[in-house]
Amino acid sequence: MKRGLGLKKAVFQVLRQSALILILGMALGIAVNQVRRDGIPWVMDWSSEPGLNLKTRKAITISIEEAEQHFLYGDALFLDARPPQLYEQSHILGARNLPLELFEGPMDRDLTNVSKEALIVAYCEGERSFLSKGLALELISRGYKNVRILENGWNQWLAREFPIEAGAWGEKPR
Amino acid sequence: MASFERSIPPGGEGKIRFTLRTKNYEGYLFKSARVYTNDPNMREFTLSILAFVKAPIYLLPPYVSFYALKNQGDSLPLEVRAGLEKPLTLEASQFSLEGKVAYEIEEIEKGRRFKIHFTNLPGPAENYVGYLNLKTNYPEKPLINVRIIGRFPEGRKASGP
Repeated sequence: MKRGLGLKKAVFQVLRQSALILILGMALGIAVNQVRRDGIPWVMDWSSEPGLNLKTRKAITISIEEAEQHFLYGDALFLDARPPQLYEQSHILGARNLPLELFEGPMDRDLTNVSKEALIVAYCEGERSFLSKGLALELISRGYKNVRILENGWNQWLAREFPIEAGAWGEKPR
Repeated sequence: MASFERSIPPGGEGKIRFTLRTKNYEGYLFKSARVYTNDPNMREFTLSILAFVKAPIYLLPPYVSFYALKNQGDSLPLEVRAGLEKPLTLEASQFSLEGKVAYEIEEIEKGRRFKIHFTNLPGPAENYVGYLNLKTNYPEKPLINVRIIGRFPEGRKASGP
């Protein structure tokens, strides 16, 4: 009986000490994070929930499933924001190439017949989608009202083996 | 992956080192990294790398995908490009979609570039996945596997992009 009580006490002691070590570890981690210049923020949006177009309050990202539906019905213009070399290698079937750095140049003409109300899906590759986000912001600032970003679009499209083609933009008759 | 010097003295220089893992890549590769600074005139900027990963043979695009958008009888091209100096030869070896898809190999630049035209043959609108294997004269890549996908969602008809 006495031995059982001793064991119970030892277990409680181990648990108490473990909790203490855990709390001290957390406190130390928090303190270091506070001191570090590049500390991890307490609150951050890690989700892939859609961001908002501040002008229209509409979601600016589009899911791969939704993009597929629009592709299927042919009611969206897909814009590839990657450099021309990558576009030429392969791109979403029917997509136009509009790298941000060429926006002010001849590529800009490709949008002259595109309505400001048209659904435009911008894509590039990489989880952060720098290029397509930059392109989308530029399009929104120019008055295109229905611009969406397909995040990590090229990689998602390839992973689902959706239709693609090769060739430079303007090479094929449209 | 990037490594960098966290602190740069005023007027000094710092280095940012990019490492690209090129395994499983062929042809052009583009990667970007966003750099954040405490410089009030340049809070952030983007560094980009455009690289070319050499391979013995390139497929453009990497697979063939027929879709509901495509009418039966439509054709999709795939280009095979030689990545080495020596002339490339191709020979069809195995094809798993007999009766569903037809193909024709066209040599558009002798020993360098080939175009394979795939045609979705008339028939029931069923989904399929198959391949065309091509034998080459390159010991570095003796076999090319071209993946062919047919996807025809029920009840959906589209006009195409």
